[in-house]
Amino acid sequence: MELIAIKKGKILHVQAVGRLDASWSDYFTDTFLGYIRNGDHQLVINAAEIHFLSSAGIRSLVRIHKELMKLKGRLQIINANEFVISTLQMTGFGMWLTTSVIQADDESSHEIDKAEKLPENCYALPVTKPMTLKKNENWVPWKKIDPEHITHLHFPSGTFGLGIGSPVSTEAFENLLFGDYLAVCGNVVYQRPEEKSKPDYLLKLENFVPDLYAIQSLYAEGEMSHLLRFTPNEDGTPVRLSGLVKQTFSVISASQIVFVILAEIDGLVGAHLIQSPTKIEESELPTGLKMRDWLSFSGERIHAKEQALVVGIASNSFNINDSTSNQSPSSMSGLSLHAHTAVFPYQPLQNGQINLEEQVQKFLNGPPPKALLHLIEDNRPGNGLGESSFIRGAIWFAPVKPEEAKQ
Amino acid sequence: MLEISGISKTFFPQTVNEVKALRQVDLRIEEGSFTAIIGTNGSGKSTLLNAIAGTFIPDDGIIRVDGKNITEWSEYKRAQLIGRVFQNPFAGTAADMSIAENIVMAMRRGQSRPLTRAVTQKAKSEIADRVRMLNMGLEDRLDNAIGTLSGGQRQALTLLMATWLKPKLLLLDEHTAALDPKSAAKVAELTKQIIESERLTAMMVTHSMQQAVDLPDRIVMMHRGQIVEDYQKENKKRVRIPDLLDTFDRVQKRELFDETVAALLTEQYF
Ligand SMILES: Nc1ncnc2c1ncn2[C@@H]1O[C@H](COP(=O)(O)OP(=O)(O)OP(=O)(O)O)[C@@H](O)[C@H]1O
Ligand SMILES: [Mg+2]
Repeated sequence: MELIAIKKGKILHVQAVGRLDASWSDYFTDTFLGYIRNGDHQLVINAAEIHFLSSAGIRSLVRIHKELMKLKGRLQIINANEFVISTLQMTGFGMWLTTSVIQADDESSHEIDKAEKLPENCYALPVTKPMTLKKNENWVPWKKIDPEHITHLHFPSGTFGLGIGSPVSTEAFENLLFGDYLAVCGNVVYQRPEEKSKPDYLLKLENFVPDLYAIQSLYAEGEMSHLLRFTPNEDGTPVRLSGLVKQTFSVISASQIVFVILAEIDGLVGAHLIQSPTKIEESELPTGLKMRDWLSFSGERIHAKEQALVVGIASNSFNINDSTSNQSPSSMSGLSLHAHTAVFPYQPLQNGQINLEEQVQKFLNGPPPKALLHLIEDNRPGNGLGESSFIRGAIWFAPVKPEEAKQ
Repeated sequence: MLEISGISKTFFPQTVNEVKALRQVDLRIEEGSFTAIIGTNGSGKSTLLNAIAGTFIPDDGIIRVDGKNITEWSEYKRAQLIGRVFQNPFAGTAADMSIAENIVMAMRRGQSRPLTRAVTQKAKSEIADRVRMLNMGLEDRLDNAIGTLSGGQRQALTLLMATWLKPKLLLLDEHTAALDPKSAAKVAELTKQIIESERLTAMMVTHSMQQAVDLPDRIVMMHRGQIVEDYQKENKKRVRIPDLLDTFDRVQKRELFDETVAALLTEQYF
């Protein structure tokens, strides 16, 4: 079996030559799932030279068809010979056969004001409730924590957040397990502060609103104003987090944004808590190498090919972690950024304009998250790991005014 | 039984080749326990056993057996308490001597009487009884030179000899590593059997995660001259190979967490 793919407009035409039977069906399926992963969801198979189609071959086509249905894509088969036509019709899959290729629906059939002149693949979303941001920055990193500084947060739909929190508050303060968390569309993913723990999550259910006790939090409420779809850069290189965030600042004029990313991962660089900061003692503050007992650092670029759900806050003009200082961000990228990522097993995303809440639900209702990280830009000279980067995906974002007063 | 407190050993101190092979190691071994020592190459496993056996006197720290401070005892003197088996099946036995003669030598370990090679009939039947335990048919070949045996058979005999006088402590340093997988499994099984039936206290260095999980009742993991993990009792019962690999991974990650990472995270983790 030989497969030759040629892109014509929005449609990927694949010429298949040979027998589509048990010995080739796995190869056939994998190759097509690869096309789908690359973002091609409109597929046409030129079957002129498929000489034989067995039931294994049909199973393979069904698998591809199902995957495309989930992504609102389409499978079409042209130029099939008599044998293939009759086999497909007999088995009830005649609907794939066509004599003239149906062009893709315009994926961006959305009612937006094109006068806004957005870049291609960027969509302005209707906003009735602009994004607002509250910060609880009472925690000064690696100082002993004052129990008075815990904030009880609720996460109904339309809220986003990240920080350090605990799902319970009933234990004695020292026994509370504060770990990294993120919240998106009313769902919370939290990682217990242990090296090996897998993240837990609290899902929004009909009458249940997840809540959390936080010692540090960025809490945003409102609607995302834009969606930007991205694919690898023109030279095929992955998209770096800072590059992606910078693109959003070129779309909207704001000094600070809240964003959510859903994307296939190229590599993540990050850290997470492995010991609850409630255990910090005044007499032995974690500094220098002692930090090892409190944080686990990824040490390499990890979770390639899996799916990231990132929640973050970024500014291009001030340090978001220190609202008192007027210093501009010191990172190499010129951005100040705080982002947490949950990692899920890979699932492809539909192309074009997609709905944040629906997509988030899809991931949270699927296989559980594998990890949660506070993203780090490893700019160490020589052996730095660089920053997190993604292959393709979506970023939703909204401008948010810097908060006036704390709490 | 065995109590090690704060022992350190540095090879080639104050030279470019300086190696801190043991750093302030503390370890208590209970009477009748069987402990596996695992760890990456060069982590100090053999050095720890050598320190216990008295191959060298540690730079620092104290070693006690049953409360007695043996830190300054010579290797020879400690041999009365300690039986050892090494990786090389050709060490520990004399190739040109017969099985029976080798065992008689082992029976006299630590005794100052002049050595004779003579093996009495009585001794021979006692030897045959014990050798039969190995289930290798060697009891009928007691007069054969040890050099004619396979590595697995030699290692099984070495084990038997090292435990003949019921040493207070049995030290095994990768004693199955040089054997083919089948012989290694057989010797591993014998090891457990002998340790259990003779109620010995034993420490076994191994690179085999499978052995570490299957044989002993405790697993100690070393890294860079330190004990970094200690699975005992319930924790040991629960532990599986993937857990050990995870722990290795974590230990190595911790290693990568150097000052530069600490500085990076100080700046960026908030
Ligand atoms: N006699 C010696 N002289 C100099 N250096 C030594 C000596 N013995 C051990 N070392 C060094 O001390 C460190 C620890 O060695 P050791 O043999 O204890 O490791 P190990 O854990 O047994 O490793 P392996 O699994 O490779 O046997 C190594 O760096 C080794 O090179
Ligand atoms: Mg060794």
